[in-house]
Amino acid sequence: MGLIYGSLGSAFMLFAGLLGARKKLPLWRVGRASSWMRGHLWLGLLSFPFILFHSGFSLGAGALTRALMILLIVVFISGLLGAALQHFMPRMMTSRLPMETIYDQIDRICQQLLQEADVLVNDLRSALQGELSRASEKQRAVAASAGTRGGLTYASGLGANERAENALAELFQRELRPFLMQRSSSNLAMADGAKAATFFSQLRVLLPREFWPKLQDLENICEEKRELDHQRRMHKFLHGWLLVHIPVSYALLALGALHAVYALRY
Amino acid sequence: MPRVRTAKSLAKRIDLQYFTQRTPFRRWRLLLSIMLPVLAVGWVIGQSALRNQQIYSSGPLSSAHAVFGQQCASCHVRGASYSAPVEDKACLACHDGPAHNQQQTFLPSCSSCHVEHRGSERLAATADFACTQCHSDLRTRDGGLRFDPHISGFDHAHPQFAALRPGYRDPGTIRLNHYVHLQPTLRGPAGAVQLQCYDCHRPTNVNEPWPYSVAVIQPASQQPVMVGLAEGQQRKRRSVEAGPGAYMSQIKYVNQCAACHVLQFDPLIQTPAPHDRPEVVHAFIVQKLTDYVKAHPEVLSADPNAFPAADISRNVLQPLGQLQPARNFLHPLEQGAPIPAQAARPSTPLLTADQWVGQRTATAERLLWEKNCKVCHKVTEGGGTGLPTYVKAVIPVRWFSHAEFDHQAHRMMKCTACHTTIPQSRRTSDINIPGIEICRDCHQQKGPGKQAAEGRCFECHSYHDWRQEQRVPGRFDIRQLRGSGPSAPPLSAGSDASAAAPATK
Repeated sequence: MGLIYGSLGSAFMLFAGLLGARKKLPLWRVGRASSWMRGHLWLGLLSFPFILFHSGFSLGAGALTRALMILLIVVFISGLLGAALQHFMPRMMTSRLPMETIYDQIDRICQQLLQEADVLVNDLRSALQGELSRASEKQRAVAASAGTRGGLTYASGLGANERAENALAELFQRELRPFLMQRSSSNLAMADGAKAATFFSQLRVLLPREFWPKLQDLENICEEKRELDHQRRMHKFLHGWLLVHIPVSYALLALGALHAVYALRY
Repeated sequence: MPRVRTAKSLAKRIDLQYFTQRTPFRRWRLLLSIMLPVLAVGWVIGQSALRNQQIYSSGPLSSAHAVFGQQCASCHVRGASYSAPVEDKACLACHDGPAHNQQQTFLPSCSSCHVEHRGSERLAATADFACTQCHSDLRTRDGGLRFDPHISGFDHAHPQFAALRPGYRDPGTIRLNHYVHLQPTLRGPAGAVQLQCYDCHRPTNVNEPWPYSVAVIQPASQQPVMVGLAEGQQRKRRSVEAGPGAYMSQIKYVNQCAACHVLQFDPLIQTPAPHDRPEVVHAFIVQKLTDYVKAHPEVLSADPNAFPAADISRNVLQPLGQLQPARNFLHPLEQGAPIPAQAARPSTPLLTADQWVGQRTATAERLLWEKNCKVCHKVTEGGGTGLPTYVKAVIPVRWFSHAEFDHQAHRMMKCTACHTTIPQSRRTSDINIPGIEICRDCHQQKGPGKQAAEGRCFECHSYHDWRQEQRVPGRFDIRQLRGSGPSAPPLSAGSDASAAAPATK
């Protein structure tokens, strides 16, 4: 009876392991991928009690059987965890990450976002510097007529633009650029949406209204980077268990085969 | 122009060949998927290279077989299938397995009862199923049934012990009244005594002097007699499984009775008569009296009444009120006292030596045959020799003929805790072993699991009758046994192991 349970449990595990081969060979038209996944889940689940019956609900005393049982438990628990994560997290990601992209392309897109931000910031700074240069001509004319308008001199307006340009340059160099460059940027101020919003609100106060759309684009880039970082974290949860599940499964199958050989030999 | 995110603009950001490149996640997954199985297989191969067979073990071996831990092939004979248990020939290669009963219709394999790889548990501690697979619905080859055919466990479906079942008769022939022997007014060799169970009943491994042995009245004697196990006390089990104190010593007159039930036959003779057959006793008495009259010829001319015969009442149990002082078995003459005046008449002898011996012998034997011996023994008609004959004393040494009991294992108990009827037992025919219901108070089938004493079949019964064990020649040397030398010679169908198998197989 123990042999029957052991054989069935091993067969189930072997089938579950073939899912990897099925994925490697997508054109291998033996059943639908969803059927293979269902088979992987249910037969893999069933293999655990079968092996428990086979072992008489003990870890085994030999080092090999004990290692096999520990590997099986690790595979079983990581599989359950993975199944649960794969069931809930994709939905969660769809709702929380509207800018979700292909995980493998996140770095590439972050680079593009950085370039995009560079261009935007350069545009803004150029525009502000152009204002300053034009303002200098007016300032000179006003200064010549020694007039003022509404108590506000052109000189004070020029000072505001200068401060805005400085603030923008500082924000970009100190906060925005590192945030867009780094893969793990959760410790930076821009990684926090609320803080980022505060920064951009302060900039809006400093910048003339006609520059606000570009500032908005810059804010959108930061928001997208935050989402991509969030996607990266969720992806680690969603697929990180595979780093345990798959290698341990292969080890289990390899040791299981040895166990079968030695057991049948004796 | 504001930043626009259309599907097309988003798609343009993606590298269409991205799947051809390995990301760190994929790289790690591949690396681990290769490394871990390789490490696992390498570990097994390494253990094989180190000749460590322990890693394949399905569990620790029993302590009896632990020495074979590195020699799997000693029991797992090559070619045996995993689904098949270890073959009997592997077991029989080292030790015999005496058959259970010639009438059994089914012979289980060794490993179906003795399950190995369960740790230090005794291999003899078999599951009840090993026994009940036959005994719950017993069938025999000849169709006859000498045992209850429906025994499925100790808790419920087990018959009362045979000695306590209706119709059983105590085979003992010695008259004994336990009640009297436990009274505080009992007369002992030196005054009143209160006997304890331990004074007469002791496990065979106890090597202390008996308090009421013949040595009390004859310090120079070679007593007490060392009493070995009776044939009935030879255990079916191996001795290592039960201590030598499992059974009580046989009751012997010289050890347990002699100090109180003295066989003194004549006040002139110090030495009591031997506890032996009547003809031996008769020869002893004649010899002693003949020797005495040779040493003391003056008794032939003395008044016979001056030397009264032995006090015939002294050897019978008496109430304490009539108790006499400590005994002195020496006659005054033997102690050097002068012959009484009225006895020392200087006249010619009244009797010849033979007549004197004949008279004294008759008196002594009347005392012994009519009083002393009959206290315990049943007399049958004489054999024509003039001497009485007695029914052979049969004191059962073992009441469970098909089960084992170990008094040593129960030494923490008071005797009367189980032998509850003893204090009130007045008749010889009383059987005072405890009934099964008393055993069940402590012993239960799921004993250790229920915080009770073990109650599975093996606790009392042994499948193999180890008294029938045949010697099996050894086949290992130390290096083979410890796995540091060449393997033991393989077993084959024609090997000694098969030859050692019981004929019933």
